[in-house]
Amino acid sequence: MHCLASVERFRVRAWPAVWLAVCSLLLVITEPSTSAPEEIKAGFDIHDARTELVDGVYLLDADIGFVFSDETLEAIENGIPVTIILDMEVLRERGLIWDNLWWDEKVAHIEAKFRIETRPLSKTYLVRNLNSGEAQVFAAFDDLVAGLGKIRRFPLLDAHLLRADGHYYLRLRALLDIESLPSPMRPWAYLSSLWRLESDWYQWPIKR
Amino acid sequence: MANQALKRFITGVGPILVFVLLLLVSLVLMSNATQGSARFGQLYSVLLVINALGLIALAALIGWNLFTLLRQVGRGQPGARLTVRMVAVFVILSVTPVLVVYYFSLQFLHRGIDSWFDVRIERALDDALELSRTALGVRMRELLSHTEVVAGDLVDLPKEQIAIGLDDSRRLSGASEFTLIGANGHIIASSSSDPTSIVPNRPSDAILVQLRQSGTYIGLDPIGDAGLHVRVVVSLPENVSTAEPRILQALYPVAERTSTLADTVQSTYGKYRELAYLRKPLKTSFTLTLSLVLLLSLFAAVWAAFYSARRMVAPLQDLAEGTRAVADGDYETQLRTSGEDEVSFLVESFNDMTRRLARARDETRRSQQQVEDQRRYLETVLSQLSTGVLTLDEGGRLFTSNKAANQILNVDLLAETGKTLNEMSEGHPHLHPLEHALHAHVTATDASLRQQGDWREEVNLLGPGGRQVLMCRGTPLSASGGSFVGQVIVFDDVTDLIQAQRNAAWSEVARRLAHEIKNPLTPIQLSAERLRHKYLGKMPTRDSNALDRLTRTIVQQVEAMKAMVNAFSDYARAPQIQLRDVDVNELVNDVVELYRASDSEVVIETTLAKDLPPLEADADRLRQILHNLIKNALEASPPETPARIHIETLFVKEPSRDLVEIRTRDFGRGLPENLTDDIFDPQVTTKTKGSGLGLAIVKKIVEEHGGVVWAESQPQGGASVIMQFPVVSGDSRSSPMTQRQAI
Repeated sequence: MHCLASVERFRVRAWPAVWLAVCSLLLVITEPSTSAPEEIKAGFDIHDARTELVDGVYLLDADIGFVFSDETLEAIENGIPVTIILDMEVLRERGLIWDNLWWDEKVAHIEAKFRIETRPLSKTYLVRNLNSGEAQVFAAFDDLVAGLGKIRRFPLLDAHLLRADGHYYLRLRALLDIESLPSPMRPWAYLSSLWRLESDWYQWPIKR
Repeated sequence: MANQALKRFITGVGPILVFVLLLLVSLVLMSNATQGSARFGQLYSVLLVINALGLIALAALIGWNLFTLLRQVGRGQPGARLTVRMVAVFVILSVTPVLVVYYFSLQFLHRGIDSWFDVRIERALDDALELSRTALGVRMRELLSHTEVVAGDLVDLPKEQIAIGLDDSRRLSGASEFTLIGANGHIIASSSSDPTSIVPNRPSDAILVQLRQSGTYIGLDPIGDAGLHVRVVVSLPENVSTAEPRILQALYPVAERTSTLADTVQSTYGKYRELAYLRKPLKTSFTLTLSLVLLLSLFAAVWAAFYSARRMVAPLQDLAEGTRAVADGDYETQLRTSGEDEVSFLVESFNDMTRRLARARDETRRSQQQVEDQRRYLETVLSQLSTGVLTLDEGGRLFTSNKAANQILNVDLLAETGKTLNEMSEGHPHLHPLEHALHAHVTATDASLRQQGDWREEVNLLGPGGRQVLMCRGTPLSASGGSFVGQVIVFDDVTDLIQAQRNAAWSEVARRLAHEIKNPLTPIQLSAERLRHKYLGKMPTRDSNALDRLTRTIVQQVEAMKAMVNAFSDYARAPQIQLRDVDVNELVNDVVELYRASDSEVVIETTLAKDLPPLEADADRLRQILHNLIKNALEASPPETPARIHIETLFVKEPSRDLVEIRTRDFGRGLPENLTDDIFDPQVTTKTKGSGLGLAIVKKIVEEHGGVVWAESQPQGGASVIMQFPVVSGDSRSSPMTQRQAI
């Protein structure tokens, strides 16, 4: 799991806007999100995140709570691979307004993808880091959730990519990658709140 | 031109066809993606959005077409209702089979997907998985027991021999890796069958947790690229010499054959479970794709229906508009033709018709123009004629007239157009004689007119300008079919001509009289004088007195006859005037002085214009005129009072000419009304004596000088004779002479 993620420049992610259009065009009524109390709990939440500079590399430690909806769990149990994305952005303040992200320069955009699979033969769960190819086996799904939610020493960024005089901050979110689902499921996954599992951005300054 | 071509291309069928084709390709790709194609799987969402947007664009296009069509129907645009009908027929014809195919396709699709799943296959897969688990479970339990034995052996080994013991145990057990790990996770010793492997595989935190809970861990784990391994983790029993707890992890490779079979069973089972789970989404997804295809087909068909209907109706619309334009008189309309079908033939025929109509119209216009030119020409000719021309319609109403007719009749005939002669004569009483004379001809019926043919009448009018003699000729007018449409009346004012003829006749009479009578007069006179001379003294007194009286009478009468003959001779004498500049005032004074000197009983008043220009005339002839007029005036004056005569000279300026006017006025009885015009004729006199040639000679001399003379009775009594002579300017002095000689 601990592998340097690929660092890419800013890339526009237009899917939310596109699918908003799809929602309105197909006129499909979305499933009510308040139908069951337990479904309300489904969602991702970043409890804590921090970076530490070790040997010229910023390492990420994060504690994330993953609560999967029944639909998601049912799909995983039925052998549908589900991908979780840790979406990370390193931004540099332009010194204008702290809260205004539009004015801040995006230095790096990092995506770490983890695919959750079941292994029916051994009745275990496998989490594969799609960036590094590393796999980890869990005997129970709760173990998987606990293991996946505890990110430790994740190599994030080389320190030399940051300017010495700049003020940088990092923001992180976790989300379920609907695009990695089998194509027949995608339209309904986009339209269903039970599949749109996404945490809020968690933001903190990078200590130098 | 280029812009029009571009516009035609944009609004034509090409772009829409390309658009629909692209949407079709997109749908094919989406269909592939739905079926699990790895290549298009990533594009599924994009393709779905593209297709949805494309269909919305098509729907909008159709909506716009529909809106436009309904608006055209509302406006009653030609061809709109036909387009609606054709679109409806096309849509019904195309949509119905598509919907039927759609319904059955959905049925087949659902049944096809359902047929993929079978309970027996599912059971077999479950059994195969369970069998694999059982087979691997036995082997795993053996390996666990063996690992626990190895762990027991390692407990008592001194620290320095652990590595060797671990390696020996690994070799003996056939494991790929043995690792002894300390309490804090550090590796105490490790043995691997792969000499290149430097870092041993570590158990994860989850394994360590399970180990703490149950004391052992056994699982099938994929180890990097080395394939499936059985991982066994056990805790080493407590030892006095080593206080720290230690764990042993052993990785046993699963036999290749077994690994492959297990993988196959596991992946097949997984795929089947996945497919079974995706059954509903697959159905929905296929239904969605099929629905999109259906919508694309429907929209394309509806649009094609609009397009085809428009294409088919367009020439008819053009024809309708063209016909309307022709009905409004626009014969230049030419419709665009395309193709070789029957409609194009119809359009060609229409174009040919409009061309012919335009030609016919042009010819008609030319004919009208010619007729108009002809009419204007005739009008010009008629207006320049001195002959009056009237045309009457079949009802005897005035239709046209020329300028000369206005002048001759002294009536504005343009205002009288449409009136009969009778109606005209009511407003203009002096036309009564004309109406009376022409009544029979004007009111004649068609048949009698045809029988009668041309007619001729002489009419005497007494108009504001005096007595007029009109020579009228009439001719019936007939149309090309021979029907009577009216008649034309042509008339000339022959008053002057008759007067001239009369003058000429009198001149001839005078000349003959002078010639035939004058010759015997002298012998008669001589004979009478001789009788008197010879026999007067020889005859008795009574007889001599009688002879004296008789011969005297003869001589006196002969003298009188001579005077008369001389007068006739003067009248008939050809003009031999000698023109020179004459001061008329001086001439008048000279003549008047003669009368004033010789007869104190005569009062002659003169009013002479001071600015009178010299008149080019024969002074002797003018003097003769004045003598004649004064003599006439004296004779017209009442004998009981001294004769009073007033002579006036005037300089009259008219726009086109200057005139010298001489007026002589007496204070006698005046002129009888019926003689105002004939007073200047020979032998017309109001006196008991005289030859009656005095005024005739005056008129003759005045006319020889290019002048005019007329007589007027004065309201206060007496009569005036007015003479006007044109003053010839220096520039055109020769022309009046020529004119006068011609007269």
